[in-house]
Amino acid sequence: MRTISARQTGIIIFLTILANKILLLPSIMYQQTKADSIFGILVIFFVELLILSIFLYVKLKFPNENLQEILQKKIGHFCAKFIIFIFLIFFLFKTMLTYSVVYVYLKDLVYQDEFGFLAIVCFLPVVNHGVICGLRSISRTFELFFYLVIAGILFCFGIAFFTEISMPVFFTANPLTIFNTSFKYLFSFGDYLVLFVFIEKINLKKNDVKKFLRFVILGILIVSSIFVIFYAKYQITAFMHNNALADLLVFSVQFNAIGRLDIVAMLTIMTLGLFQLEIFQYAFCESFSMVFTKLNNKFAIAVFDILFFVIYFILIGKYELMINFTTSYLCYFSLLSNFLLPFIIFAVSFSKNKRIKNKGVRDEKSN
Amino acid sequence: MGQIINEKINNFKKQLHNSDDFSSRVFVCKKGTIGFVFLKSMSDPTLFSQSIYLPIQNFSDEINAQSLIEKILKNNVVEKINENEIITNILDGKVVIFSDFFDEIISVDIAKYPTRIPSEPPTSPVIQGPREGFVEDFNTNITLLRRRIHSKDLVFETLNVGKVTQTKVVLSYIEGIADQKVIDEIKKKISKIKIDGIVDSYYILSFLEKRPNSLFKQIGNSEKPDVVVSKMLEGKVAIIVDNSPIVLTVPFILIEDMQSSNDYYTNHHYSTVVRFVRMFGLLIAIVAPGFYLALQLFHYNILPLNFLITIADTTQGLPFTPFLEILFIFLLFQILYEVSLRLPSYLGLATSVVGALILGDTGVKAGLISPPGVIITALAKIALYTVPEEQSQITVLQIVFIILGGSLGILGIVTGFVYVVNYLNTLDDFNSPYLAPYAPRIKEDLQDALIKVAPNEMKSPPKSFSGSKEGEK
Amino acid sequence: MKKAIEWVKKYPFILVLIVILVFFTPFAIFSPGESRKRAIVLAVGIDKIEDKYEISFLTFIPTQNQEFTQSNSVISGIGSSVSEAVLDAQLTLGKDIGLSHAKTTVVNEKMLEEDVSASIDYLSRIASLPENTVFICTNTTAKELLIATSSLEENVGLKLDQLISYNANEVYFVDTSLEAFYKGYYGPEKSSIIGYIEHIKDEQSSQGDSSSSENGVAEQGGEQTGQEMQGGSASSDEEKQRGSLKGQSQILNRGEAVVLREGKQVAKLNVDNLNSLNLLNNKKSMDSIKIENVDIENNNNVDMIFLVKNKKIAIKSVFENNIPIFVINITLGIQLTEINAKGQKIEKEVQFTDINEEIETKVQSKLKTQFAQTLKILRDSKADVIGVYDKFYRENRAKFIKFLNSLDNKDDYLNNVVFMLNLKIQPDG
Repeated sequence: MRTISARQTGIIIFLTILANKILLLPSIMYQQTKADSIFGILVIFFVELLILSIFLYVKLKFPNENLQEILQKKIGHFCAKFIIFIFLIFFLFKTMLTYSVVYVYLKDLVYQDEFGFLAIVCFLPVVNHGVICGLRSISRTFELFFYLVIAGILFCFGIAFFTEISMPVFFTANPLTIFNTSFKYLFSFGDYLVLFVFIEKINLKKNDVKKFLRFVILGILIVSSIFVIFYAKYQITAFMHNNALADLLVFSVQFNAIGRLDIVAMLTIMTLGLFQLEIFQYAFCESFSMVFTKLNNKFAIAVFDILFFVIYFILIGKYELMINFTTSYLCYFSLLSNFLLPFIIFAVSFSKNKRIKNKGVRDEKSN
Repeated sequence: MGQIINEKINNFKKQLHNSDDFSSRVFVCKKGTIGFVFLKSMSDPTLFSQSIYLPIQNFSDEINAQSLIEKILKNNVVEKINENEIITNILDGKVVIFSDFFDEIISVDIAKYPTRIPSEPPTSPVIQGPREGFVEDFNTNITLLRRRIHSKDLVFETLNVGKVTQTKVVLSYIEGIADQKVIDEIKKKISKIKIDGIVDSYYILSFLEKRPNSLFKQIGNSEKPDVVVSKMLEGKVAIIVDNSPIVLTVPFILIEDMQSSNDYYTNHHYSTVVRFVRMFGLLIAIVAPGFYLALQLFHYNILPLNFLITIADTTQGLPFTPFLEILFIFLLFQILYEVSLRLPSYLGLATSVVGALILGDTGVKAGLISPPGVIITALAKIALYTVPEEQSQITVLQIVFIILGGSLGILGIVTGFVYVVNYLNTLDDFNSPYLAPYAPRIKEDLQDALIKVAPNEMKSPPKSFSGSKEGEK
Repeated sequence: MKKAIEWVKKYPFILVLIVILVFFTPFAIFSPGESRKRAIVLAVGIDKIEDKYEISFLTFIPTQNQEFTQSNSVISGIGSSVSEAVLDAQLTLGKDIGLSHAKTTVVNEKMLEEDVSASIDYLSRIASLPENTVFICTNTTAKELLIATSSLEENVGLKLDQLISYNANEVYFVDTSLEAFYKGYYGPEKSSIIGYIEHIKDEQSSQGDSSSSENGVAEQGGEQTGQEMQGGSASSDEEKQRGSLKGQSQILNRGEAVVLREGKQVAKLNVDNLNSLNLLNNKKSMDSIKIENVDIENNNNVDMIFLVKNKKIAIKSVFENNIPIFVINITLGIQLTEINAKGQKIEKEVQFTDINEEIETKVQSKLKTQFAQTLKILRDSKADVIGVYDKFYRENRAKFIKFLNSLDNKDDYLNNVVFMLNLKIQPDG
C-alpha cells in the first residue's frame, strides 16, 4: 500500500477546506446575513471539527482497513455499499460545484467570454491524469504547491490592506436567519469526508495528529479571514463582488501606478481549483471502486467523465441554476452526507470495538 | 622445433581474423620455444622488448614458469591465465606468453594506447574549484575517483556489456553508504542489457531508466570527478563506462541539476541566491514564451496599461499573428543555436553577427518581428542555460507550453504545469522521489536544496535517496 | 489502427495534445491578438441626451512607432440604453470594447438630477471593469471632457486619471471611485461624494461638438480629437491662466466634489469644504491654514500660513439625555510655512516654533467656522458623508436606533445630531 504522510493529509484537507468557500460564498452569504455570515461559517466549522475527530477516532482504531471493510463487517455488504454510494454522489456534486464556481470566476475575469470547451479541455485531462497517477503523486504535487498557494493568498490579503478597511458591522442579522443561510450553503462544507474514502491510505499515528490538525486550523483561519477581510473591505457592496479572493486584490485609486496584480489571484485560484477537482475526483473514483469492486480505476474515471458532461450541460455556466440547485436540494442531501454518515461510521466503529476486544479475549484464552 | 608454438600463434591470429595489428614474437632457448602474442595497437612494443624480451634473453638460469613470474618479469604486472582468457587478454592490450616446455599461460600488462589528459570539461567549468574532468579511459577515471576517496569501502565492480564491443562498465559505490537494494537493482538491470555495442555511457541510460520513453532524465551524469565523488558520498552509485567521459549516477532527482559544483566552492549565502535565480531561470525558460502568447491572445486585461501600449504599438502592422511570430523567433533562435554548436569556433563570431545584428535588429526594423517578442523569446532561450543540464528537456517543454499558452491561455499553462508536476511525482526510481526534498518534504535535505546552509551545519547525510520517506510507506 | 490505439493508450496526453492542436491551435494561429482585436478604453463617459444615452470611450489607438507614444481618440455611440450605445460604438469602431483598463468614468452634471445609478448600472455589471475606476462628473458633457483630456494628454502629458488620483489622495475626503459611490449609495447613509472636474470650452469648440453630436454616429466615431480641439492646459484654479488661454478648451481642476444622495446631486463642495471635512480624515494631513492679521513680536497684522504636519483624531459617539453627540477631538501639529507681512520687514532671527494663544484661537476659529459651514451644507442636503451613522451604529446601536425611530424623518438624523469639535493646536516636532 502506497500511503501518504500526515503532513500530506493535512495539506489535502487544507486545500479542500478552501474549496467553494473563497470565491462565491462570501458574496452570496452577505446578501442574506451581512457580515454575520462569519458566525454561521464558524459554527459549521466547529461542528465539522467533531466529524474530524470521528475520522481520527476511526483511523486510529482501524489503521489499515478501508472504509468498506470497516462498514461491511458490522452492517453488511449491502448497507456498506449504500453508504459509500452516498459518498460517491456527494463527491460527484462536490466536484461539479467546485468546477462551476471556478468556471464562473474564470469566465468573468480571466477569459471574459464563454469558454466551456476550452475549460474542459484544460481541466478534465489533467484532473484525470492526477487520479491515474494516484494519491501519492497528487499529495506530493499539493505539497510542492502548498507554499505557493499560501503565498498567493497572503499576497491577496496584504494588498487588501492597502485600501481603506474598517471592521465589518456584526450582529445585524438574527440567529435564525444565520442558521437558515448557513444551512442553505451547507453543501459547500463537508470537506473532511474525503478522508474517510481513502482512510487506509493515510499513514497517521497518534503523535502525528497535532501536525495534521495544524493544517486544518490553518485552513479554517484562512477561510474565515477571507470572509472578514472581504467584508471589511467591501462592506455594503460585498454583494456586488462575486469572487472574494480575487476582489481582495482590487486596490483603490492610490495604487494605479503598479498596474494589475490580478494575475496572482488568477494563478492561485486556478491551481487551487485544479487541486480541489483532483482530490474530489479521486475521492469519487475511490468510492466508485469500493461500490463496484469489479470495475477498475480507469472505468471509474470514464464514468466520472460521462457524468461530468451530463451535469455540465444541465448546470454549469448557468450561474443561477447552480446556486438554486445547491441551496434548494443539495443542502438537504448534505445534511445526510456531511453529518449523518460520519456518525453512522462512528457508531459502527464504536460498536465494533467491543467485538474486537471479545476476540482478543478469546484468542488469549485459546492460547 | 617450435612447430607447436607457431601453430598456436597462427591459431590466435586466425581467431582475430588475421588482423593487421596482431603481433607475435618467438624466443628459442635450449629447453624449447616461448611464444609472445599481443596487439601492436593496444600495447607498447618498446616496453615489450625492454621489459620482457630482453630480460628473458639475458637470463642465464633455467627458464620455467616460476622463474619467469618470480624473477624475470617481477617488475611487471603478471598474471596466470587459462586458455579461454587468452583472446580477451590480448584484446585488453596484454602480452600473452606461452611455451612448449611449461603449461602455464602468462599474461603481462604492457597496454598503452593514446588517452587524453584530464582537463576541465567544457560543459561545467568552475570559477574556483577543481578543474579535473573525466576522460575516455576508464582506468584514469577510476584513478580520479580513488584519489578522492581514500577508503577501503570504495568499491569498483566491472561488468562487460555489449555483444560485440564487450565494453567495461564499472559500478562504483561506497560500501555502507550506498543502498544495497539500489546496487543490486542496477547490477540486475545492467546484466540484462542486450545490445551489440556501447559507444558511450548514454547507450546504457535507457536500460537503467524506469521509463525510458520519458522526456525527463532519470539518471544523473557528470564529467567532473569532484561532483561524482560528492554524489557517491550521498549514497549514489556511479557508473563508469569505458570510452566515455560522462559518468552516470543513480538515483537521480531534479534538485541535483539545480546544484552546480560551483555552489560548493563559494559562500553558501551566494549559493542560495544563485539557486533561486536558477529556479526562476528554469521557470522563465519553460513558460515565458507561452505566457507572453497567452497574454497577447487571451488576457490583454491583466497586462499593465503601459506594457499593453508598448505591445500594441509594436505589434501593430506586423505581417505575422502573435502565435506565428513567436514560433518564427523561436525557430530562428533554435537554428542559430544549432549552427553555433556545430560551427568551428573561428566562425562563431560570424554567427553571432548574423544572429544578433542581421536577424534580430533588422527583423525588428523591417517590421517582421516585434521587439517584445524577441526579448521574451531571447530571455527564455538564455534563461535555459541557467540549468544547462536540463537544456534538451526544457526546449521540448518550451514548444509544448507555446502551444498550450497560445491555444488555451493562462489556464492551459497552469494546467499543463500541474500535469508535468503530477507526472514528475510519479517518477520515483530506486525509491527516490523526483522532486524531493520538496515533494515529499524531507526535512533533513532542505539544508542543501534551494537554500544551502554552511557545510558545518549539514549534520545528517541526505535521505532523499535512502529508502522510506517520512510518513510515506 | 490497432497500433495507433495502443500508442494512445501508452501516451494518453498525446490525444489531448491532438485535440488542442486540432480545435484550438488553428484559431490561435490566425488570431491577431487581443490588443489588435479590441479597442482599449482608458476612460468612459456617459451622457444622457433627452431619452437617449450616449456613451463615449477614450480609447488608445495603437500606432506603429518606436517612441511608444500614446495616441488616443474618443469614440461614441448612441442608444436607448447604455448597452445599446456600447454596441453602437463597437459598430462604429469595428472592434470590441475592452474595458479592463478604464480608469475613469465620467458623467455630466445634468445626469445627477436623477438617480445616476440607473445610468451606470451597465458599468457595475461588467466584471472586467475594475471596481477602482474613478467616478467623476463634469459640467459639460462627458464626451467633451474626454475629448478635451485626449488632446491634453497628447499636448501636455496630463492624464485625467492622474489628476483625479491626485485629487483623491490630496483633496477629497474619500475615494471617488465607482466602488465608493456604490458603498454610499447602498449604505444606510445613502450619500456619497464624487469628484467634480470643471470643463470650460470656448464657443468654437462647443459649436463643433454640438454639430457632431447631431451628425451620424459614424462620423463621430471617426472623429480625431486632436484636430478639432486645440489642447490647453489648466489644472490650477487661478483666474489669470484662464484668461490667457482664451479660445481653448480647458479642464479646470478646482478640487471640487459633488455630494450625492440617493444618486442625485444635493450639494457641491469646494476645496475649503473638503479641507474641513479632511480634518476628520486620518490619511490626509497636508492641509494649509491661513490666518490673517496676527500680531507677532515685531510685526503687526501679518498673515501667517501654517501647514498641518500631523494630526491625531479621536471621534466618539456619545448620548447625553438621548441626544446623540458626535465628539471630534483633534490634535493638530502645525508648522509655519509662510508669513505675508504686507510690506513690513520681518526680523530674521525670529523663530516661530511657539504657537501663542492668539494664533491658536485664530486657527481654531478659522477651522471651526469652516467646519460649521460645511456641516451646514451637509445638514441641508441630509447627506451624511462623514460616517456619522456608521459611528453611532457601531458604538451605540440600541440608543441610536431608538433615536432614529423617534425622528419624524429617519433620513434627517444629521440635523439632530450635535457636533462637538475640539481642536488642540501644537507646534510640530
